[in-house]
Amino acid sequence: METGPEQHAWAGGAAGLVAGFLLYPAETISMRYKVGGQSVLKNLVSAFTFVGEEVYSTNKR
Amino acid sequence: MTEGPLALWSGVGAGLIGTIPSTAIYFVCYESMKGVGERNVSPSYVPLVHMTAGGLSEMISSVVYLPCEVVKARMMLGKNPHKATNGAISTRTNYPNSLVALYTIAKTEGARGLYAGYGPCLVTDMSFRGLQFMLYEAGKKKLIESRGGVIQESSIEDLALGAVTGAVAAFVTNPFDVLTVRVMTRGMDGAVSSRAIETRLAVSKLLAAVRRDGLRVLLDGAFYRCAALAPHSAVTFAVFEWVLRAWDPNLKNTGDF
Repeated sequence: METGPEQHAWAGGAAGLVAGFLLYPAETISMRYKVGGQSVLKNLVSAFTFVGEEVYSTNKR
Repeated sequence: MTEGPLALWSGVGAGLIGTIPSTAIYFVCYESMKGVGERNVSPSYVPLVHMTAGGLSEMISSVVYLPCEVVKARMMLGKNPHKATNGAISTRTNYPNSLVALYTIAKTEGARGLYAGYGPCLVTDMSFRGLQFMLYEAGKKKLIESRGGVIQESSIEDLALGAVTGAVAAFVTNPFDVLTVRVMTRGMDGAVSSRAIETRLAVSKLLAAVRRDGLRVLLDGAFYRCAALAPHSAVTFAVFEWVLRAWDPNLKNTGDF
């Protein structure tokens, strides 16, 4: 039996969902590095430590 | 108060809204083009068919995912982009969520904001996908040949092959990615001009950086890109093949991809 577009669509959607969610943090870290040279360690540390008060008071951009 | 680990999933909503349908569209297009191509060319050109089908399918699916990709790229910089990028982005605030980001970008920057970096992004993603799928199909064929033509279902094998091909393709196409990200995130500093100007500015800045620091600038972030895309590629292929096998257990006997 040959697979058809319907099966490919479902399998592709499932693959996108699982890979997109599970590996999102890796993409985030990669993105921050590319834009500003932020290392993995710095990313992980800053995910837990940085924030300015202004973030919460003026983030309604 | 801390930003928290969830910051690493910042913009995941936009990411998934773009990724799920676009990956589905991608595989439907790829499989269709591959089927037509394989039937109409001599076996020695089949790898080219895979590469072309991979690249063209990316072009089609990019129409859906690119706006989400722009939102995602900006949301990924967290609540304080200035901090998250070591000062490369001057703004210290970000959109509260993906929907607001989408609305604001559409309102203030228009369609060109949502498709910021479309040209470089397309070049990056088409070359990445084309190479990734060509290598994956070639690897799969080699594995089957090495077993004397016996097709054996194995998610571990799919994971490994997906990871290797994803890493190689990510490394080779990194220079395009460096340029794309610079164009995509320029609008965050309020630098809204025509797409052509944005791209030219990003290209000239990149060329200046290459002249100053050498070609290694083009490999900026290559390690992280490979580290992010290799597992992504592995999981994508493994899940795709697993779902197909679950759908029709007879696939293991026919060897349909």
